[in-house]
Amino acid sequence: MTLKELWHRLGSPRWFYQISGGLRRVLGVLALLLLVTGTVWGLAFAPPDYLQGNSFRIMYVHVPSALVAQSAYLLMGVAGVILLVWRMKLADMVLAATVPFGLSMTALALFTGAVWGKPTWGAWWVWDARTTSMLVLLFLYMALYALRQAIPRPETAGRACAVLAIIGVINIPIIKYSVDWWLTLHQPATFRLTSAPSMPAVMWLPLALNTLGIYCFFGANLVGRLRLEILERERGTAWVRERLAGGRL
Amino acid sequence: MGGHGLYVWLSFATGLAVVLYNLLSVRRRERRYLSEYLDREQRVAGARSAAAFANTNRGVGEP
Repeated sequence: MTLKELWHRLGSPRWFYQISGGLRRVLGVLALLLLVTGTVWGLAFAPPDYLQGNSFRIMYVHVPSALVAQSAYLLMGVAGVILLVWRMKLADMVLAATVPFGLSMTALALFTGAVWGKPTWGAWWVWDARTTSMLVLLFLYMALYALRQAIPRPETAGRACAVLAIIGVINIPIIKYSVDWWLTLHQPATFRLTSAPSMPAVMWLPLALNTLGIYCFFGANLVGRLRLEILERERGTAWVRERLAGGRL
Repeated sequence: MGGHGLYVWLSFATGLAVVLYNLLSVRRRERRYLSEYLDREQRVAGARSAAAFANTNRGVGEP
């Protein structure tokens, strides 16, 4: 299948529903394997940090959740553009379905950041560039949720959310580069595309596993939510009735 | 864990809670959707058979 054919196919929620069951299962299994391995390794086998001791292990929850929260927002920005330009129904569904996951992950990143900050910085919260821009991300997710609930017409709600998602994308490079642009308390990136991490493999490998695992979980969860959106929006159609005739989704 | 145990376990427990929330909220909606669908199908089937019964018995007892 060419990219053009794939693009055309994605215009059909029914086609997406039909191919996505297997995809969801694969991503779910991968997520489970990666997260369990990464977590056990990070908790039990990674050595304590020479400065922070054992509190650095919070990194194995904090960093993956922060990264996926930002990626999920970027995905919504892209979906917003696709919705406004091509009016693809699936794009609107992605926009709606990503919000709960992204919001919960942003909240988790902020919470674990605060819990990590207390033993490390002596404070639960500082108005640091990165912490503040992550808080803005949380507000953006909340705003997207509230906006969709507030507008009764689904098409209008979708377009309004698309505009807000696109405008909010500016926050993502701000979060990313905040530790470089400002003199911040928050430490700089562990991973860079161009150079090796400064920590030993036995410490950063479980971080990589947990990060990959949470992205797989995001994929599996998003596909599950999309399938539900499709079923709800196409309720009453013949293909849905046929599909549910066996008593299973 | 050198006195940091509470912080570490609190973080991992919250992480697990968030993962479970995302997993279970989808499962719950799926189950609700399916049970609503099956209820509706039963009601429709019931209404259809009642209408069919009324039609077949229309001639009985009427002049």
